[in-house]
Amino acid sequence: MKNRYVATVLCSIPENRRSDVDRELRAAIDDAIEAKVEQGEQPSTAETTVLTDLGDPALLAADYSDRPLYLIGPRFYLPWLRLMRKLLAVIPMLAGMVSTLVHLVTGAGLIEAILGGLWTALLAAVNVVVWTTLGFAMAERDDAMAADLEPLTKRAQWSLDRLPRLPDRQFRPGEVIGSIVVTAVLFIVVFNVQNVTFPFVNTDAWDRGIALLLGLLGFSLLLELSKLHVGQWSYPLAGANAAVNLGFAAWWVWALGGGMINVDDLAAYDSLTVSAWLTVAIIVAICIWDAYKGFAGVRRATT
Amino acid sequence: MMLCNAQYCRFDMVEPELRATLRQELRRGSVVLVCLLALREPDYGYALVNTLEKAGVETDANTLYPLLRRLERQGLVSSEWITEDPRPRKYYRTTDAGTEVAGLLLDDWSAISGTIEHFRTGGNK
Repeated sequence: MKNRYVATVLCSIPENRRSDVDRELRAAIDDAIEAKVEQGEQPSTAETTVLTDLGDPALLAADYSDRPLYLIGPRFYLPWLRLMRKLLAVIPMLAGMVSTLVHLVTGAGLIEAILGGLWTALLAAVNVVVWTTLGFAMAERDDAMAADLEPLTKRAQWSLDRLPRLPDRQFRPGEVIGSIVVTAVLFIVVFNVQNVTFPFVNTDAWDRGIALLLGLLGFSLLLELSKLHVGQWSYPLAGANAAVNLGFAAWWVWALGGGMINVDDLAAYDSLTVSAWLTVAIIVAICIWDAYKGFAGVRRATT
Repeated sequence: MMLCNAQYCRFDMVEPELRATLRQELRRGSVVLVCLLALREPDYGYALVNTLEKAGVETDANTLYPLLRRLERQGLVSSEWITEDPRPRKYYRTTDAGTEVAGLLLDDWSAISGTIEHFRTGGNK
């Protein structure tokens, strides 16, 4: 039993320390067993007690060879976290976009291209996590590598300048950019459906309705951009936001209430009429909520 | 305020686990100082565990043995194999550098203990 214990400890200790640790550990174990036997314990159980007290051999070996018992310690944890966040924000998205483009260029269908892009983005994310973690974990165990990482840890060093600006936190740039992208996509989609004909459509008013919608979308795009610029809710911004929402709500009421849809045709189908008005109700509710959020934001920003 | 009112002498108000952690943290740094002082008389690992235990310092063998080697690498203790005993044993002894460090740590220790005494006796009033 003792031989197995000592051998387990030794196999994960640097070679140049092995023979010395071997001799010392054996002597110490023998001493401890001897003392137990003198106290009246059976030799066989004494060995078990002593070895159990010494604990997990892997733990002891790590202690003997000054190896950390963690993957990334406090020295590197924050640099690791910051670097990984930065890389994860950029690389998977880039990889996914490139892959989607390549799929499209090589003649794949739209769905296939998007799925392919998502898959590539996922793979890229996994790779980022694995390799950064591996690098830092190795540096934690290797002084030369730790020295190589020094500029990185220095740059990640904290200073007062790194404090996030308080007002900026009302609009997270990611969120605003996200809604800009969505608005722009909607704009393009709407722009492209102007020549498509749908059933129940009031053809006279169609072009005018589309133009109005495009105008509203353009206005809300401007609004999002100024959110980025101003950074927090203010009364003019909340007012503009309420105006845009009012515009959207009014557009939907007008469009589905007869402006763009031929209500007389639609009246023959009860379920369609109901769902049209349900849509209007939901959209109006969302617009009111969003307008209210702006004014609530002003109160939070000024306090 | 004295620390030993009946109210404060009940030690069951704190979770045993937390209590153990706090005590361990407080003692951790003192083990090095105790070793450096104890090893002014050369001793080997297993005997040192017993010596410390008799003196009221609870140390586990599995932390003390690696600690002795670390102190040796840092040059604060030196070691020598002595084969005259019933079995060969590695004796450690505090070096001059170790004595110097022990002196520094002792100064800190008494400063800390002075501070604690100052606040214990209500010095912050």
